[in-house]
Amino acid sequence: MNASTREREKRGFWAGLCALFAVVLMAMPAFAQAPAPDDETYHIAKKLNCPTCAGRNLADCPTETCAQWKAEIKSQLDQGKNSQEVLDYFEARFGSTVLQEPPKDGSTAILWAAPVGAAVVFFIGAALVMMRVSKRGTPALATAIPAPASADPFVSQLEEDVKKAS
Amino acid sequence: MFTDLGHLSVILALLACLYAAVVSPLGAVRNDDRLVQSGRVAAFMTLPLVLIGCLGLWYALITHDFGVQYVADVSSIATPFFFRVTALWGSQNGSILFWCLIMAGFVAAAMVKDWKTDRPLLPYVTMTMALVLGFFIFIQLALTNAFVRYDFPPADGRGLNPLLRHPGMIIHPPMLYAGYTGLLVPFAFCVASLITRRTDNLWLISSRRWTLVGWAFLGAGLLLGGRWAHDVLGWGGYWGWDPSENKPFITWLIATAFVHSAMIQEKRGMFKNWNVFLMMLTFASMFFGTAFIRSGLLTSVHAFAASDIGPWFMGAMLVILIACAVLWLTRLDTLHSENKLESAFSREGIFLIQNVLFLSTAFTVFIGTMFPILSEAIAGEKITVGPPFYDQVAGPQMIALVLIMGVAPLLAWHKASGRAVWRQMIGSLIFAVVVMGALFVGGVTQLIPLLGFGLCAYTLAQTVMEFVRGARARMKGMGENPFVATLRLAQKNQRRYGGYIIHIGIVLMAVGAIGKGFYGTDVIRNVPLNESFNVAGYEFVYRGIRPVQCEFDDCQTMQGMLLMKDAATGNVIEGLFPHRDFYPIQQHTATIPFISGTFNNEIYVLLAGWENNGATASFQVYVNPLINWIWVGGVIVILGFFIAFWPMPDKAPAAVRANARSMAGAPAK
Repeated sequence: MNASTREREKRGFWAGLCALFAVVLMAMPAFAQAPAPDDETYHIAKKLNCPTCAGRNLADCPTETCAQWKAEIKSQLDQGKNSQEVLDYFEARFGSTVLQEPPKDGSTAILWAAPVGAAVVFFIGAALVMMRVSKRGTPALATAIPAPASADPFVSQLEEDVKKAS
Repeated sequence: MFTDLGHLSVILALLACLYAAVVSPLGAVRNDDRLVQSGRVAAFMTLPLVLIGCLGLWYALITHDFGVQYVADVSSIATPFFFRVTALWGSQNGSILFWCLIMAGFVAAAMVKDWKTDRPLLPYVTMTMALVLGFFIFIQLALTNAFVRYDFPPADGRGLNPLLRHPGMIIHPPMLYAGYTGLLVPFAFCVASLITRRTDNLWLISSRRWTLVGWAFLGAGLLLGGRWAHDVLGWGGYWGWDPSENKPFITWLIATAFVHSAMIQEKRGMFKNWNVFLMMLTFASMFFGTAFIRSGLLTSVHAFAASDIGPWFMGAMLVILIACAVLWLTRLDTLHSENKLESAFSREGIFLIQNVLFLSTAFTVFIGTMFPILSEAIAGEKITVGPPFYDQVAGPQMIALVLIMGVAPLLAWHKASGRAVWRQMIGSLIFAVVVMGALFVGGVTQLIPLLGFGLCAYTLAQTVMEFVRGARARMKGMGENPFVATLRLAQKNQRRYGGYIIHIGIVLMAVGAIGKGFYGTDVIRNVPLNESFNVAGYEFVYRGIRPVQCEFDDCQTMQGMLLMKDAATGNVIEGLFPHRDFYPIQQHTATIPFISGTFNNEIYVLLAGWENNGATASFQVYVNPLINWIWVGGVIVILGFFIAFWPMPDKAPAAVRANARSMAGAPAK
């Protein structure tokens, strides 16, 4: 009986693996595609903020002002500018506020550096905490009391009483 | 009349809060249980009192009482009954009242809970919750009163904000509110434990379920918000790193860190300081987020209008921070670790690293959200931080968290053995390599998404193996069949296996995010009548536009008609009808998508505009590969929460626990 259970379980495992694999294969057609040729204006608009719709990019915003901006992008492209030049034009005219991706320069140094700095500080902090906790604590208790026990209110009460008594 | 009664009732609720906040600690200091009980009842009573207030406003909304300013602002005669009900949280003033209702619900639930084991904490839990709830009720009454009347009532109202007329909006705000306000309960327990110097595991055990409830509501609220954005905002996506999404997300990240690190304290009695800190940070971020979204300091898609509640919230925030800092610093001596960390290569160690990553991710989102304000204040130029920043900085950290999810369960408490970990890892690693190979052959050749999918495959396999290993042990030990063994396994240790199911859901969401993020494309095509364009293997034939009956009475709809065909075979798949709804009163245009394609490859079409009565029209077509896995993963996360949370006590241990409880309750302080 035991052997047959194991056999069944083994079969189940492989069936599961195949199912997972099938799911992955189903995802394939999604990637087989080459990206379709893109409308340049639209993709530049995606990189700009809309002056009238708060928190949305220019391409997604349906207002009149945005239509004018998109027309401006189009005419600049028709004049032979490339997309970076168009973006530069908008940045020069309205400031870096118009860009979806904040520039990486002095004005945004804090923005880009702070998360990295914070992560480093946090990790150093964690390392220090680990070092401290590995020195401190009451090793005697640690070995005396099984770890999961302290989850129980009764046992933690008991623990306290023991501590008081000793 | 009934509405004014509601107004009066909310005033009484404020008085009840003040009473509870004064009487409860007084009772504790004087050791007078009658006072403590009186405070408890007063705090409980805020629920019926605020509920009467809400009923009053609902009554005004349903009966079209446009004499009430709020009613005229958010509804009109044309507003259907259903949206007159949900209009209670359709705008700032009403939604703060509704917020108070949900918070009062949590306060009342905490008051009626069984206080046998944690009795000493009761007076201060009552006090903390009554103070916070009282603050919100005060804001409602003094600054954003929803009951104010016009001297001369208008004949009709403005109608509900068109963006809010979506089923997702019925449950999305209540979910977020429940998530935010639910976190008040564990915070109150934390504060009470510090005040009473009972900084053992008492508060953690009492509050961990509450934290989980708040966490789950917040997560579900974010998920529904994503679905709403996908269906209504015409973004093509699900997440825009918008300030009003970011703020709850920050709180959710910190709460997630807490849910994990609480386990270390429960199991090993370590990191007590850290848990107190995380709980305080969770609450502070919730309060701060509310303040910012509510005060209109941040512009966002659906932040509430600018109002003067900002200074009040900032003042309260300052008080909370100072109170927390003082409380924490004066109790530092009681927060010693009971145990020694034996090795950094252990469950405890990796939990700490995971906590740090959650916090640094939260900080990344925080600085990105705050930077426009900071840059304006410091440099005088408001710099916008769009999605590219978050994708580049928060993205890698979240990927690292997926990796930790696949490694942490392998590490034992105390000290892990490298060889044992490796032995358990190798199978899943091979699986991941095979998946990556298949994907590479299938056309996923970019390095980062390939690694990302490989990581997801590894973590998924590893998490599934946790079930397989546990079930196998039971099959061997108890002779159960695989199905029963898995079920029993989860039943015996709901938190652990519920947690693993949540992990599986998160991995699937990551798969969706990588698919959409790296392989999503979108194009805009201008097309003359009866001509076609090709995107992603489909041919779209433009068949004109037509005005149709709008879903609501106060709008006009123009519908675009596209025929979608298989580009290779020319077979017609279906007709697509994206439309634009124009709301003249609110001067708002809604771009409503039509969604088609396959499960793994969503086609999302928008009508972007037309010329000459539809002689030409432009369509935006988004190809969103794997995006549906985000919703599937989200539902699995919620399912996992229910498995972890649902009370299914094992008969025998319950009796033992009850016994233990009566004994633990007996000893004097």
